[in-house]
Amino acid sequence: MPGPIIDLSLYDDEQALLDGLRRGDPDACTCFVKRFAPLVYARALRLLGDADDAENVLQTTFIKACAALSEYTGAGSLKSWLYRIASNEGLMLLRQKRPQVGLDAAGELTPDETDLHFNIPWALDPARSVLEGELRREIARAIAELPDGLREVVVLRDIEQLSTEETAERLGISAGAVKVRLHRARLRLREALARYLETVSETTSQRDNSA
Amino acid sequence: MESHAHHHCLDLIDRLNEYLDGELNADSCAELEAHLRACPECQELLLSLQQTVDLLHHLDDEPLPLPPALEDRLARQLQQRLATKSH
Repeated sequence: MPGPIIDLSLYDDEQALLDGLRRGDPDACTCFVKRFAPLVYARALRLLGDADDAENVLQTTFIKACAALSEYTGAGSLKSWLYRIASNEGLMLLRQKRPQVGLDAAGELTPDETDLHFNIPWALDPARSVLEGELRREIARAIAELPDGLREVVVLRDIEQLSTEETAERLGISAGAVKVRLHRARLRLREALARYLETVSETTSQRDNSA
Repeated sequence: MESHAHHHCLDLIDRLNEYLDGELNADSCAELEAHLRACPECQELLLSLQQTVDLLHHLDDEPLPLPPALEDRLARQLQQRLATKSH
C-alpha cells in the first residue's frame, strides 16, 4: 500500500535535511535516501562493476553516514561526503575480494592489456549530441568491464577527479603506478568507444543509403 | 594508423595522458608537441583521448534509479536507526 506523499522540497536545504536527520525525522530519512541513494548507487556500481556489490556498498554507506552524522562538519557538500564513504567502502570490498593481489603490482595486468591497437578510427562528431545518452551508457559498460585494478584508478582519477597523489594514497600504491594504470584504462576505454562509434557510423550510413 | 608501429610514436603515446593531465615536465612536453605537429595520427589519438576523458568527467552525478523495494528498505532502516539514536 503506498505510504503518505511526502513534500520533498521541505528538505531541499542541506542544513534543514541534516537537522531533520539528527532529530530522527522519518521524512528526512526518506528525502535523504531519495535524493542521494541513486547517486551513491551509480558511483558504487562504477567502482565495483557488480550490482549486488554496489547494493551492499550503498547500504553500508548510508548506515555509516547516519552513525557519523554528529561528525559531519558541513565542510564540502553532503554528496561529496557520501561519495567518499562509498568509495572507501567500495575499495575495501575490492580488497577483500582479491586479498592475494599485491597492492602495487602493475604486474597484475595481463600482457594483452599492454598490447593495444590504435588502428580503430575515431568517429565521434561532437555535434551529434543525440548520441550522448548512448555514449554514456557505452562508456559505463566499458568501465564495468575493466579489470578491478584499472577500474578503481579511472573512477577515482577521472570520475571522482582526485589528483594523482590523492588516488595513490587512497589505493595504497605509488603515483607512478596510478599513472600507468590510468593510461592503460583510458586507452582501453578509448578503444571500446572507437569500436562502438564504428558500429554506429556503419548503421547510420546503411540507413542513409537505404533511405 | 600504421605509423603507430613506429617506435618513436609508441614512446610518445605513453606520455599522452600525462600531457592531457598537465603532469608532463617541460622538456617532454616540448618533445611531444614537436612530434604532434608532425604526426596527424598522434594528433587524432590525443583528440580522441581528450574526448574520452571529457566523457568520463561528465559521467559524474548521473543518478541510477534504485529498485523501489531497495529504496523503501533503506529508508526504513535509517528511520529505525535514527529514531533509536535521537531518543
